[in-house]
Amino acid sequence: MLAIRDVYKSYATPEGPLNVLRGIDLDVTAGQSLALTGESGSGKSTLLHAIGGLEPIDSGTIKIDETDISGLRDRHSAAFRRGRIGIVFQQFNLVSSLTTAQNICLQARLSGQFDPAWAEHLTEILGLLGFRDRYPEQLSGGQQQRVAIARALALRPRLVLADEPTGNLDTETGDKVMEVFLDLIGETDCALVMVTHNPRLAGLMQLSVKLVQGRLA
Amino acid sequence: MSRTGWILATLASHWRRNPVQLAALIVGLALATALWSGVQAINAEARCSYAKATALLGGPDVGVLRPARGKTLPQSVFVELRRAGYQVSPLVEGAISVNGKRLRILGIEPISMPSQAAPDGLQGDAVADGIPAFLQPPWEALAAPETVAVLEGNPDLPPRRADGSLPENLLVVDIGVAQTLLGLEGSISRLLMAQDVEVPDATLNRLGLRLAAPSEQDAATGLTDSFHLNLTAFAFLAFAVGLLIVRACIGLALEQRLPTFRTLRACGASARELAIAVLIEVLALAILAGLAGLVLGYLIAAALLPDVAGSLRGLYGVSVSGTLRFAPEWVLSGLGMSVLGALAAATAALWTVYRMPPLAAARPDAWRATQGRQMRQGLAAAALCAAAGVALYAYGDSLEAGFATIACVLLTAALVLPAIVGSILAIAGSVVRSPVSEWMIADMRQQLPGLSLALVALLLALAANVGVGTMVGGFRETFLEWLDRRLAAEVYVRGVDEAQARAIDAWAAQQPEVSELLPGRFADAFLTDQPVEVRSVVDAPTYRDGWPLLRASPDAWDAIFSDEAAMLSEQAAVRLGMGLGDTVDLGTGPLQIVGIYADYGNPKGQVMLSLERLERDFPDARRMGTGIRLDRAAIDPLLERMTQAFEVPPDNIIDQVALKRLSRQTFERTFAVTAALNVLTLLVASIALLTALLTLFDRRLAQLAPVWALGLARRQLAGLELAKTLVLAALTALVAIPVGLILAWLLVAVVNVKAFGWRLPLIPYPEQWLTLGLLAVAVAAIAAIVPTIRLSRIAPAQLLKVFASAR
Repeated sequence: MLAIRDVYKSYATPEGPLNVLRGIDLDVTAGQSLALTGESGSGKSTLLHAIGGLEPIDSGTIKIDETDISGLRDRHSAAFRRGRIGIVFQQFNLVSSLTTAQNICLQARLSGQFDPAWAEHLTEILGLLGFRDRYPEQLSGGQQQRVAIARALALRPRLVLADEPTGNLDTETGDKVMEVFLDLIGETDCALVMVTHNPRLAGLMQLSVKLVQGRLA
Repeated sequence: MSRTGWILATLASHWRRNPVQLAALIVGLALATALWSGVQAINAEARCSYAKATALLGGPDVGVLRPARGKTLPQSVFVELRRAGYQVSPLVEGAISVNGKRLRILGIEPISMPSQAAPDGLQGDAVADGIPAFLQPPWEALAAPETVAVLEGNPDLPPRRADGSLPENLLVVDIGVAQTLLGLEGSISRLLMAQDVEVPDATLNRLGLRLAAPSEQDAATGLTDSFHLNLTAFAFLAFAVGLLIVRACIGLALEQRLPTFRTLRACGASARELAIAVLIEVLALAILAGLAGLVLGYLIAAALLPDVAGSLRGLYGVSVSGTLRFAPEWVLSGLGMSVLGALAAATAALWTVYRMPPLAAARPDAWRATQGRQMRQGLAAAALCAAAGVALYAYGDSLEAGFATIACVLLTAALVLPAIVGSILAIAGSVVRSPVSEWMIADMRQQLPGLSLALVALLLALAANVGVGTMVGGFRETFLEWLDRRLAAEVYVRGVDEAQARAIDAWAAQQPEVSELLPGRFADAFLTDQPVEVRSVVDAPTYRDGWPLLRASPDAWDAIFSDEAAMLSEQAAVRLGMGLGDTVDLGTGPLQIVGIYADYGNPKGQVMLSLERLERDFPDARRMGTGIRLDRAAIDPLLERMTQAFEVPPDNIIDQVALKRLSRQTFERTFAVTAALNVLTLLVASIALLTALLTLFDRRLAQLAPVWALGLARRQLAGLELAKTLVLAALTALVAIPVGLILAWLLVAVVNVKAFGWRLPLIPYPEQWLTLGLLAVAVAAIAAIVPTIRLSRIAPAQLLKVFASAR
């Protein structure tokens, strides 16, 4: 489902190129969950963003369902992302001017894959029924992250990318959010790639890989 | 709904949550459009009136023969030309007073008239009914519907029929009726002919005729062009000030929506789709605001049009309808400017969105990090603008170049303002010692980028006020002094005819209380193909001591009365490029120029000769009212005796005081429109400041909350916020004064000279600057009052939320 081959990525810095990813090879099949772990600066988030088509790579291929998204132009990459990939950010990244309900439906509507019953189900499962008309600023951190998860799952994606989804939450809230998140992932049969520092969370995934200075350890 | 629809809905949700910002954007754009379209509506109405006047006589398709000298021709000239086989048509024109209002009378002969010159009411289907009624008793007249309504029930004039093609205040009648109404029996004013008719020069010379140049028929357009350009320039300034509000709002909205853009990109919206959505959003807002601006502009134009019509009548003698019509020309221009202005204001935002990487830093304050770079870029652009301004001033030689120079000055000032205010604050910051003052100045520096566009709007409005105020003030002083010199005689008397005028002059010369008698004549002539007025002067102390000479040769008056010299009005000298010592020829022999005098408010150039020389060269010159100098106390007894001795109509006796009052009224009315535009521009600037403060309010909380937590009360913070706004406004006013003075100098030394032909002295008015400085502070206080009250009453929980968000 996800096949990454020989991916390189570097950033230009005043001191010369900074090699962030150095020949990554990775496979994730449908329904599988993978934890990407590693020190800060090891390239975890860069790899996640590259998989999502948010960050161009220097060389290599990233195939999702046989489509090489690394070679797509912005317009096609965006189209692929909105129809197949759900992303959950550490900072939630909700649209502050939209209500909870509108935020949940946003990507599904953009992709034309909006299913009201499924969105309602997600809202209920994630405990957001009573907060549908609230704006992000009126929600707690845990609630905001649950909205972000609901938004990512509302389009029934083939792949969910999560960048430290509980990094901004306390342990108890984080655990609760993760529990529901993983249940829903199981329910949708999509693949999950999650960046985390937390070994306990990594342990909940089916696969776990560690990045050290841009290489898989 | 389509994907673009959903993106648009998401973007629109920002405006729903920030209605003040949306209102600011719409108000800014609507006001900018209103001032622009208002002035365009006025210009369109005036041009429509000129076009009607020109089209009435066929415009360039019809040839015109005029008297080579004087204003009228004997009717026999027409008869002779027709007998010789030339297809010419006579026309007589003049004006009468009806209920105190001037009514132009145009007498035509519709049978011989070239068809394209005839009014609509005597053309096409209207011929069958219209011509017989026009040519037979009771001699039906044609007039604009508005004029027909005004003349309703008047028994002294022929019955009126409405003709929409005619300009207002004009009555078209049969030539015989016109000759009677105007007292011009046996005379005609012009002869019309089809363009292909050619009359030999020898015949024209023998009959005292000349072929009028096409430009003479369209004189109103040429003369008034500069007036309309002035109005347009002011409207454009107001438009630019309004656009600053729009630019600020769009920039702020972009900054606040960076996280939304990032999220939308993450959710699969492409950069192109986002840019298209922002473009659609801007266009929709521009059309909405443009429509509101058009309605507002219509109201502004309707309110200003009577003054403009009065000014144009007073300055150029052209008649402009006092009623405004909804014309597609200015509606489209207003909407076009609204859309183009919004797009110009949004260009940077659109480019940012289009080029934004999917993972753009969603920090709302990211722009501030680039403040230093932007300031350096601004200063470099300012240097370029200043250089362009200097080049335009040095090498430009037109009214447009004058306005372009002004634009460069204002743009330069706008670009350097943030740097100047920032530098002053930096210096102040290094001097103050108390912690609150230190924080206050540091905070003002941080606030500067967010407020700079509003401060630039205030700067432009204040500079325009200082510049135009100085120009008008100087003009007023000069004009009043000039008026005293030009209208020196206590009474002006005009005889009903030449015989009575001569008799009155002879009688007045014998009256003991009369100290000087100042008779005069004037004629029309051409000087290097330009129409000029020729006026006379008599040898009297009033002229020798009081005539408003700007430059003169030694013994200029002796030279004039030796009949070999002339003086030129300033505008004639400027237009002809002539000066002292040059020679002019009015077709009557050379005359050396020995003096240049001020002749404000006269659209035509003027040449002044001795009365003897003028009577010799222009035998049919018309009489001016004779000026009589005497003690004011002796006026009434003299006039009483005069009216007993002669049947002088009251309208023919003009008291100097009344004449000056009328002149002053015309002057004030001329600048009433400018004053109104000035006030409106200042209003737009105050709205810019208010909207900037309101839209920045939430962001300000992040700066204020920590200080509040450290022990400053909310009320105290509110007071400091108000003080900061006032200081920034005062600093802006300080910069605006020198900019305004440069503007004033360009107006009097470049624009006025090009537009009207006269140069005015630059008189500084420090009390006016003080008033404007206080006004700027007052405007800032009014703009800051709402945010200040909001801050003083803000709930502690809202301030605490800043810390919660930071966590």
